[in-house]
Amino acid sequence: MSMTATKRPARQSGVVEAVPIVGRTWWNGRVTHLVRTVWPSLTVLILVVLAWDRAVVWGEIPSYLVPRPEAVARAAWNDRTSLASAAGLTAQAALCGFALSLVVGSLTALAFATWSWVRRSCYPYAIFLQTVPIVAIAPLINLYPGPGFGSVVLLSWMISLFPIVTGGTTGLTRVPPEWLELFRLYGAGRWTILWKLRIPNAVPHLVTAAKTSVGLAVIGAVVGEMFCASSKSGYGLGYWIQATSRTLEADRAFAYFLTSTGLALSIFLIAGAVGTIVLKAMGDRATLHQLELEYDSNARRRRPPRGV
Amino acid sequence: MSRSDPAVRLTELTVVFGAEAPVILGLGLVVAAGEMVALVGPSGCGKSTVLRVIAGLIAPRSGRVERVSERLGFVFQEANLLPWRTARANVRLGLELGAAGDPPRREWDRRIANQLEAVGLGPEHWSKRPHELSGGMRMRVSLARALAPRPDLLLFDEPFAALDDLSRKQLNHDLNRIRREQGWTGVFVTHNVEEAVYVSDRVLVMAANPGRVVAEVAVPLAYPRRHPRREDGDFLTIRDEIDAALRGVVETVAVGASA
Repeated sequence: MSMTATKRPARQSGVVEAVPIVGRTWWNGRVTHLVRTVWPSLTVLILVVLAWDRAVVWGEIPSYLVPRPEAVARAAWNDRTSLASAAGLTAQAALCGFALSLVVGSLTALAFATWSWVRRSCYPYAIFLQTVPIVAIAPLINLYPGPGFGSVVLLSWMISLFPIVTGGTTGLTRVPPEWLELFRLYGAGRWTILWKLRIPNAVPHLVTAAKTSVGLAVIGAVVGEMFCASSKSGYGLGYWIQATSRTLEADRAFAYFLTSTGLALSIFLIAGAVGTIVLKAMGDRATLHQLELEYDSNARRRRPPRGV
Repeated sequence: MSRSDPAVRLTELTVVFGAEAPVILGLGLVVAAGEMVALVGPSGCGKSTVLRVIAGLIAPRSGRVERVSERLGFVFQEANLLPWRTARANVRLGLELGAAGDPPRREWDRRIANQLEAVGLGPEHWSKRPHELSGGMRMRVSLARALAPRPDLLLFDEPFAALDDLSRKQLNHDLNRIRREQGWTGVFVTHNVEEAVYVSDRVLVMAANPGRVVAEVAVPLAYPRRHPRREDGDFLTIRDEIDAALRGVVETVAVGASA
């Protein structure tokens, strides 16, 4: 009786009871965040696999066209050694291509931002790299440099370069004019502005570009292995996807294909995590705000204020 | 340079952007060393342009710009802090860009700490990044950055316009104190007449189309000035005089527009 009597007036008068946020540690916020992020996509994955399995069984689709998920899992287990080494090789090629893109793309962006005549004369060719279909250029790469790991890296580099160039150029050139005015006020030269202003300003843009680029690098490596693989350099996932498809070993083809997808996803997530660390170390306003807002909203969802 | 020597002298200054009518026409301005001059006027009368001409960021079409001061500081309307730098590192930027060997690098840390203390930002905020600071704190960092190279001349382009009234008054007060301690010359652009009176020794009222000085009001109020002084008779008399000049400017524009 007394409890009810004391609580009701407080609610009626609009007084909100203060709720201490208990157990608000960084890890439980992150775990909740992870569960909230992963759970929806995991549910979709499970539903897709179930639908796939049922479609094959009920539709009586021949296994050489679409194997059951269980057959794919078995094929992956049987081929685990070859699968692991192929994935390793593809990862190496993709990472080499991506690293090359990061270096060459950043230097190109630097040249574009520093000398406008370089940008005007070379930018159309940078766009060419983006617009040319990778499957159209792959046979030519195979023809001239010849098959091998280097050609696979070259294709991976070609397809993953453009985002770095555009992201880097945007970050280096789109500097708020009031910051430039501040530097000019002190008589700062071109290189001081570049080093202290343009490059730090470009980092968030480069991080975003790198996330796009790294996914493309895996695609480039897989396509490159379809056209440019050689016994000397070893066979990556792209080669095996093509080889097993030709022999109608659909279960193995699916296993290699899904591994390449998993590889791309893993590399993308690693790149994203590294990017977030870099941005957080730099104190990137947008990233930090986003993290804090997510954290706060999670905390609020965990413990909604009572009495409202 | 004695106090009566001019730190800045603008003679017959005309500024034109592109093929348009002059933004500023035949403007003359003398700022004595150690003096703080406030510029008030309606939007578009060229107050900020005058500052940018003095700073060398805009070249005038004609006229003379004489600036005795070698070292210049500029406080913008926005704090303009670099988001990837901490408060301390943002102040350091002022030294990196404007110190030119004085003070030597080994003394930078002390200089930065002194300036941050002078603007009233506690050490607990020095390692914070701009987004972790309030608007008033950010402006204090911006002020410390401008002060760090020990400028002879400081230019203020409506620096406290975006702040709440309490923060603005506190910063006005701090600015007066810092100027008394450090003795630099200042030109302060603002829309706020009370602020102009509070921080300056002289207020120039500008009119627009083209930008020119139409009235000059001396502010012979003693330092240190305290906030209650804003309610004093002298303060109000000066404020009303400037208000009247500004009303005249606005009415002239209105009559011109309706004619």
